[in-house]
Amino acid sequence: MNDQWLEKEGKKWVEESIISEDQYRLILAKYEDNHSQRGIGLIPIFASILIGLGILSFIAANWGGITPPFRLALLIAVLCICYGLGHTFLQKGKQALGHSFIALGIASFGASLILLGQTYHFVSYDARTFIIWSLPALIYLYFLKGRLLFFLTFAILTGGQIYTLTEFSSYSYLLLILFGLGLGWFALNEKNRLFTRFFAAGFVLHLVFLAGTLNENWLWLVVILLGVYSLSEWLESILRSSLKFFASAAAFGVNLVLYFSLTNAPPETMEYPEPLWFLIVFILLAAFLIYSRMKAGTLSAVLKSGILFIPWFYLATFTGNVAVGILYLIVAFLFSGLLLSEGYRTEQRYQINWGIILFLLVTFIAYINLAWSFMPKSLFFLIGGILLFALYFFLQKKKKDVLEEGGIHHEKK
Amino acid sequence: MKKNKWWIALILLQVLVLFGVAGSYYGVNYFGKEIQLKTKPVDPSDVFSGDYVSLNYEISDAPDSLWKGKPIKEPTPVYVVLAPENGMYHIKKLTNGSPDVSGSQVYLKAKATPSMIGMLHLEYGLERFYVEENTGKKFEKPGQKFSVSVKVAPWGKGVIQEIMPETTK
Repeated sequence: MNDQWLEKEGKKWVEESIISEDQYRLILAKYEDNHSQRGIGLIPIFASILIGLGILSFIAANWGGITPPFRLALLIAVLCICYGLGHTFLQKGKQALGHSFIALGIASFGASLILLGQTYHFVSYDARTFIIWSLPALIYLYFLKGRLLFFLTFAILTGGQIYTLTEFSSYSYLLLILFGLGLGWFALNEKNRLFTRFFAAGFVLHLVFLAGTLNENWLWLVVILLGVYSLSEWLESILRSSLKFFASAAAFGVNLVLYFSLTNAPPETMEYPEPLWFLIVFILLAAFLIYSRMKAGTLSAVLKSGILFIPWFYLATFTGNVAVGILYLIVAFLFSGLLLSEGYRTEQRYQINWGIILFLLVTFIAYINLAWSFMPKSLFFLIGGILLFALYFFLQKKKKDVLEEGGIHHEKK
Repeated sequence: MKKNKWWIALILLQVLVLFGVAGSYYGVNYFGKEIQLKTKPVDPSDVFSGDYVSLNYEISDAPDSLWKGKPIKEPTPVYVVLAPENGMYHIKKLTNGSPDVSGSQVYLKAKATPSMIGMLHLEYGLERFYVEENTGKKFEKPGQKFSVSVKVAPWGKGVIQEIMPETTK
């Protein structure tokens, strides 16, 4: 939303006597200043990134000719200058600039660790570098707050985890803990929607990586996600709903993967977690969730997402893989259907939108899985496209009907 | 003024960490004993990747009969005792506590992982030699062996001094 839009639309509202002339002026006055300020605030951030890149590429180009002790001195100088400038700006009350330079300082600390390691031919076999790097970032985040520092810390911790995973094929629990406690604490305190969402998404991502590197079966992920879903009952509402959203999203993904692999993989290649422990943990978590929902009187709301977390795969020993695979498909359909119908009922646009997206996704995946192998490819894409179009128009029409009806309904009240 | 103290301390700590990284190198250089290690050829396509040379030492693999502790199933820190033979150092034994070494023997800390049956793969943190960008061509010959001189500190850390391509086959 920008000022011009508000000005234009506001005039119409006055003409249609939705608001009075006075209210129009008041609204304009309320929104006038914020926006232009926000745009300009970004410029110092970009400027500092450019300067940082300039210095980095200059040093990089001449790096080979510099002796190791001089490299050390150079790196320390860059570090101190960045931090020093950052704090000077902060003291003068220039927040955006101050934060940018401190972020540059943190970045140069990490770069120094890596460059010194190379200078002295040190090879690391774990996430140590990233852990050390993230510590000042977390401390600065704690003292100074701010979006830039949050995302920088997020990037260091998550990037570190991904690097550890791809380079050493191991997982750093310490990075997970720093992410969960450090950024989680911050998101909880800031009560900011953006931070909470990013934290929740990142946290679930770290857990997915964890499940991927476990010595146990990766399907323990189902229990881990259920754990996030039910233990977030303890948290405050914004963080809770974000964590639930991303845990459900990941569980939905697991459903689709299981549908795909159970209907395609030869039966003997599927392995499942040891049922005893898995089910004990599962039942404990589910019981906790149901108990806390019953206490709040909102048990029925849990059913929708709940079906995503049930370990149907254990049924495969009795019914065979394909049947369970199709069960997973049905669950995925059911979930998106429930999401849609609930969206229609409560007239929540975002829920309807998600319902539509997921419904189309599931349809498409099911279609690919069924038709890919035996249909001529041109026909396959053609029919797939037509199918999706038809479904899309149908769902959009339904959404429009419901939302319009809702609007009239609202007016009558 | 009190408000400023935390960040000065924080910057100092970071500078100290950087000094620490450099210091651990110079410490090894000062206290360490120089030994020679032989490399084995690595998979030719892997020798030079971007800005470093991958090194695979003769001492990177050891039969697990040299290990007296519990069988190694996952990455385990071990101490590797090395002894010279014709100028080159070879593995004498593996221990799980810091060993007593005397005379010309030294020990290096390593991470042991099981590789082939009856064998352990050892990583010393000496497996990369960083070179200036685009100067690695001379290391790129397939099947090239190197002799690497390494300083080994009394506390089991090694740092590479230089690497020399071996000319005699």
